[in-house]
Amino acid sequence: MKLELQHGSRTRLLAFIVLGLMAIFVVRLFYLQIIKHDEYVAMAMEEQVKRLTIPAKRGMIYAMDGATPAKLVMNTTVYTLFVDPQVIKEKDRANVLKTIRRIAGGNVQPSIEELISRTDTRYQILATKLTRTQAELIKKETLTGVGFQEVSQRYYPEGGLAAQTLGFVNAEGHGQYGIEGKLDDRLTGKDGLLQSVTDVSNVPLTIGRNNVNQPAQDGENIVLSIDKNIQSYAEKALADGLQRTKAEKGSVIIMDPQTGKIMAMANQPTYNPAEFNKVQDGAAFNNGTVSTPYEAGSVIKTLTVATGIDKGVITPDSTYVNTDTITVGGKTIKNATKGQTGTITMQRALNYSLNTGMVTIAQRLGDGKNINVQARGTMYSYFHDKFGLGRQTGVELAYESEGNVVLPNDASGAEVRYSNMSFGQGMDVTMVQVSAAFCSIINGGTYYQPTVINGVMDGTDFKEKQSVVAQSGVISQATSDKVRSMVHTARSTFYAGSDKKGFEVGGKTGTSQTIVNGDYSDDQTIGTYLGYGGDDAPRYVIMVQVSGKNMNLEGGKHAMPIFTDISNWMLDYLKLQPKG
Amino acid sequence: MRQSLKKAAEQVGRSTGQAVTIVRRHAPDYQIALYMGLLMLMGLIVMYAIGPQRANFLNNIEGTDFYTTNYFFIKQTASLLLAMAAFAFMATIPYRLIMKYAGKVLLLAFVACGLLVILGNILNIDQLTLCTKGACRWFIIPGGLGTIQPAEFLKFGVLVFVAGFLGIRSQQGLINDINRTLFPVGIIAVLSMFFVIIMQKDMGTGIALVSILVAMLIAANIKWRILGLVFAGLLAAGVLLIVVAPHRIDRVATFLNGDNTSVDDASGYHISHSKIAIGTGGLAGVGIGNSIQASGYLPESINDSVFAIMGETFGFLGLTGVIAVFTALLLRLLKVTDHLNDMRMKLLAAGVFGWLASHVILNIAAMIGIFPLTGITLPLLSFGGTSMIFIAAALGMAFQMSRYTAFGSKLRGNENEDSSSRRGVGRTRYASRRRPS
Amino acid sequence: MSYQRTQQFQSRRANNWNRNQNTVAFVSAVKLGPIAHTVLIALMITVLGLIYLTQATRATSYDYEAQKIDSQIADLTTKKGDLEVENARLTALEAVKNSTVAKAMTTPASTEYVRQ
Repeated sequence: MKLELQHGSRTRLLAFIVLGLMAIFVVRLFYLQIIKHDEYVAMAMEEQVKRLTIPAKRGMIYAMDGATPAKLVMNTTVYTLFVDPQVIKEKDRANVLKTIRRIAGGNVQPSIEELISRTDTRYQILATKLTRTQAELIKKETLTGVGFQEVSQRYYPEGGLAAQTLGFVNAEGHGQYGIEGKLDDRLTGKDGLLQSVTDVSNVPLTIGRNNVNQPAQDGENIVLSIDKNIQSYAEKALADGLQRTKAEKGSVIIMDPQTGKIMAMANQPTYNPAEFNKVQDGAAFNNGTVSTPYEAGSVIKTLTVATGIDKGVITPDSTYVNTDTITVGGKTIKNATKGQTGTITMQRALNYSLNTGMVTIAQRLGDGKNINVQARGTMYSYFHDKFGLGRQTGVELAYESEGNVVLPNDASGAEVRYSNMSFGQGMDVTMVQVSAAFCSIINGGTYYQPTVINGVMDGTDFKEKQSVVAQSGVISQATSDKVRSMVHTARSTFYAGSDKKGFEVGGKTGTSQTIVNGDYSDDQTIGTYLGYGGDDAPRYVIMVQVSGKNMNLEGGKHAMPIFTDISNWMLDYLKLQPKG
Repeated sequence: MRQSLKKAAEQVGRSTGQAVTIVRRHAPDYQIALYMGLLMLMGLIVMYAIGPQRANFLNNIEGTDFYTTNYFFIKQTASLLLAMAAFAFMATIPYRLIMKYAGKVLLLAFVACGLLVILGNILNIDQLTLCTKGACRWFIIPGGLGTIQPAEFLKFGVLVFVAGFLGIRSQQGLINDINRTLFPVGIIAVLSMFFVIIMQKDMGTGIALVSILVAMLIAANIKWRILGLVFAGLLAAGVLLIVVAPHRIDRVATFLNGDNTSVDDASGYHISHSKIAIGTGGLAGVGIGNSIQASGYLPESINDSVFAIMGETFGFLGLTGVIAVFTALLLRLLKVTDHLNDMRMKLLAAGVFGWLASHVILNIAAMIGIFPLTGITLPLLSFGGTSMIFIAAALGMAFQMSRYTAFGSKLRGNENEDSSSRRGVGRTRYASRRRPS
Repeated sequence: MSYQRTQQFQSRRANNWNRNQNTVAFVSAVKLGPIAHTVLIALMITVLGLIYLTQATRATSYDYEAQKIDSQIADLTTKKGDLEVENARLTALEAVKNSTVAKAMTTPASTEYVRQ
């Protein structure tokens, strides 16, 4: 051992320890970073890469407010308040509940004391549908264990307006009934996807290599052709009318005969789509104008007359001998209005709604005495093929009914059935079918595809949709003019005093028997009124229908006043100018 | 002739307790400064790289704008400058002065620790002390300037005092005297363990203190038999401490359970994430600024876990480099220790070695999952002023010690020649390594 | 005489010097010590490191800025939505009908139409 230079074995020992440990570290690092590298990368990815769904906003629904679109269905964010009972300390519970009660008030769930004490769970909803203000007030209290969840829900600024046309969105976010149901796909849009490496608090980072950012495609904003003012008035007029007559059910449809756009669809009973879950009777969801086919009755006579004139077998002044009864195929058909016997014009037959006149027209379409195959074929081609009865119109609403018009060569499509069809019995049609057909016979013969959609909103731009001509020349212009004049006369014969002076308003009543226990019953009838109004051209077509169980409801007495009410208001609302 | 000279010299040394040779002050070992500078630079680069990430993350979490983009970089630079000043100061101040005031320094450190106990644990003054889970480890400097950890000061105090004490005892030839040497050191050890482990619940610093003492005892040439007793006592105390404190049992259990421990457990989470960070690094790392674990996944990402973040960023090559630099520095310290003749200086250098080695080894071992977490910083790299300043100060002392090393001549026959005759020509040594031609 | 010169050349070749190279090289008077080397290396590493870093590290701060702006957008969108709802509520038919302005209106006794 050297004296002054103590090259100790001890420092050498320490050096070996250090070197040994460092070697172990490097070997361990090699194991972690090279051998197990992929495993750790996978673990890191699993933790760091988050997939977030970017929810697409459901499209809004607009109605027309005159010439500009106005929001009818909007989205609003509400907050669901939840707690984690395991996090909230027992002594804090009272304070938490007190605060929630104070701010959330009516939105609080029942028996929250019990919910908050369920410490075996980690998620309990204490209040729903809080507004943003409420949520922020509670957030300011900084209660631990209390969280919020954003929920998007529909908001209806006009309340229950046009409820059946709109439909509603159920708790799962799917559209039901009406436009929400029919155009659910277009309104829903497409959810976006954000897949990204995030930091521990879920902030997406640009570091990762396989980040995906697919923005959400929001649903389309759809503009209805429904005018909210007309809709509102129609609903009020219908409700008033039903109150006067004590009828249970009623529907009104208002169309623009020049475009086929539906301006209003009112139904009773009705509901508020914001509270769809409180509806007891599902019938309230039903849009009677498109989903409920019925035997429309005498309003169909306008179509029969139009067919007759267009085929040239009658003119308004053609005459026939009315005996108040007529026998077809061994079955006697009676008039509802009696006493107009003798040789009378077709105009008069329409005025008094005589069934014999209509059967006569049907016979004249054949050989003059029978409603033969040719007559039935002609009627079918007009009613079904041209006027669209018994066919889906394609209106953009869920659950549209097809109705039923029996084929002329069908076993049940014999003479008796077609004689009944000439005055509106024996076939099932919907109000939208009849209104659209009526539009085509008074507007010069153009059948417009009935629609509730006026266009879309692209941002703040309103893109109007062109009306679709489904069939032109359904009947000739001359026929159309004659029919319109006849319908005008038919109304003014009895109700001339009801209408504003200087406007052309025409209409036809209908009182249809319903089938009760398999037989036509006179004790339960549906009242219908179908008419139009306008200045030098028809500007609107209104069809009103009222019904009730075991009630005798007549077109003239019960449906017509509702028509008159709306019609007179429409003349003002559309700012039409009276003639001379 | 040679043999007899040596014997004579040995006898002189034993009887007087004085070193026979007086080594003159010569040029220091600049490699110590070089390695320290390299490590500090690496630390600074890492702070620059992940500091903004950390600042943004914290701002986002706390909803403030308190942390500016370069908050951590600037603070680290400030600590670095302070640390370099401390290094320079300790490297230039004459070591005799340090020895002279060692007792007072240690006393001051104990007073600081005691004050922390009084202010923090007893009076609970939140404005002046920083406590977590009942462990008060920091003084708060008023005015938002930061915090001071007196335990670091205590390490320094124990180092200088015990080095001086054991050095004198060694020179007196009483190094193996249990009553007069080991007993006083034991009292100092127990007292500091009381403050650090019991009051501050800081196992890491405790182990570092023990390492400093053990390194000095080993270097002081204490008999292995006594050292064995010391180790046995330490082992018993360690087991006792682990059993007493529940959070340490957790850490050990977590460690023993390996990766299977549930993530709910904080230390299990910490270890598994440091391993994920290191593992994702691969061979060359993900590159600067691309560390994802630094964005909140890995706890203490800029302090205790900076090694793991460096592993993610620079990969196997980077970490091997870091380990290499640390190893070089440690070996350099050992070399200085080895070649010092004055026992006090030798022990001082050994203590510095123990200090640095314990920190490096404990931190890295915990990060790569082969030793339980002790909550100890990686010297010179971790963010945190106090730790860096005191490590730099200690290295400064070692740097000064390196001026007094004596190297044997490589010339045959000249082994015992005085090495002090060639002053001012670099390291004291007789001739060049090369053989003269 | 000339032979001697030749011998000189040969001895230079024998010294194994390379051709076309100066036989005398001047050593720079500036001597760099170990400290200077350390400082220089440190500075070089710093400069290189910082140049590399400045372009690499800034990206993450944009993530948080983007996130901040995103949440601001979300916040403002919700607020806009709320205002739109409020607007729709106030312009709803029922609200307009019940407004004080509407209540003060009267129905005209007769309407005259302007002929064009």
